[in-house]
Amino acid sequence: MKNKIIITGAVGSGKTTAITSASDTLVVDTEAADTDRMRGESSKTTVAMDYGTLNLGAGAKMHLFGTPGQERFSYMWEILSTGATGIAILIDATSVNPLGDLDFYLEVFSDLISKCGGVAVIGITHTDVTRNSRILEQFNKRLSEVRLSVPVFEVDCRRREDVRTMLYSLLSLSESDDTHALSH
Amino acid sequence: MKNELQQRLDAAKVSIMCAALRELNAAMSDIEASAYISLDGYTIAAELASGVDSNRLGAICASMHALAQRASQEIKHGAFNLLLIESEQGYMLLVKSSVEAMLVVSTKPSKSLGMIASVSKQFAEKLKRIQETHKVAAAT
Ligand SMILES: Nc1nc2c(ncn2[C@@H]2O[C@H](COP(=O)(O)OP(=O)(O)OP(=O)(O)O)[C@@H](O)[C@H]2O)c(=O)[nH]1
Ligand SMILES: [Mg+2]
Repeated sequence: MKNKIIITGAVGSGKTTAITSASDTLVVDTEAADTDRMRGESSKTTVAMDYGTLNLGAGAKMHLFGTPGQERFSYMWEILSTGATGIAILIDATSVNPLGDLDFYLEVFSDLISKCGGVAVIGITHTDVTRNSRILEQFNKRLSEVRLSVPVFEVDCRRREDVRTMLYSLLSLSESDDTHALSH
Repeated sequence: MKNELQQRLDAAKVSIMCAALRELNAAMSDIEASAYISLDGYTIAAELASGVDSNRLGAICASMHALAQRASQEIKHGAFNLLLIESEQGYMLLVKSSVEAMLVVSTKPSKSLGMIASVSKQFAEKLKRIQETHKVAAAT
């Protein structure tokens, strides 16, 4: 599948919200009421996948596959990653350890990132509710430490334009190493 | 933190559910194992073969249940009732029970699939009633 993009990240980082905001078609989500007492009573969590599409013009499409965040569903990460051509990792800026989350997802998806030829982006979410104004800087520092040239965006998943900007950047990354990315 | 009464009621509920699952496993010789699983993938009660990881199975069943429900909607068949998996060494059925939980049944290869499905649906209803009864008890 051309332009199959995986959107991953921790529980509550905003994956389902992001796909719902960005998609041009009705999203297939698989949310179940979260019975885990750690979270709010009415919260929902993804148990299989989210699926949406983004029209790229000339009939081309980006296929967006969101993963579940909970590690109990990690077998889905592998299933969904098959044949992916790009990945977006969402990190919740309000999490206990955002840099730790970044390390975790870079590690788990390292094979996919190299298979995709580095077509990867990081989206920092929930920045509207955190006090850490240096987070973007910290992320860029960490990425250069691990020698990954991956763009980092601040993304409010509820805002269509934010999510789309992040996803379009994946496209330009893939075009730079595959000039035929849009030809199918 | 749950109070002690609530914890005791939960434990009682689980043991009543396990008894119902054992009754189901004994109801037909082809039925081998069963579990009651929340829709977000937590195994509430299980009578499975040893060596089966009930937590992992619970999560996987939640994914399948959600996708089966979506597939039914997509093809405009209305509400989802049952998912059947046929494998070399048996069948696996996921039966909708309540808005919160499903019943999962595992069988040997069998010629009585219709009967198995019908018995499983009866027990899915029974387990739903156990869950609901105890909720009322917990509330009072
Ligand atoms: N303030 C703020 N809220 C956000 C942002 N992104 C998502 N949310 C909210 O965060 C909550 C969780 O978002 P989801 O999209 O369900 O998270 P998820 O990553 O799909 O979570 P799982 O499926 O459980 O892994 C929702 O209430 C969203 O509205 C953001 O950038 N800022
Ligand atoms: Mg989700």
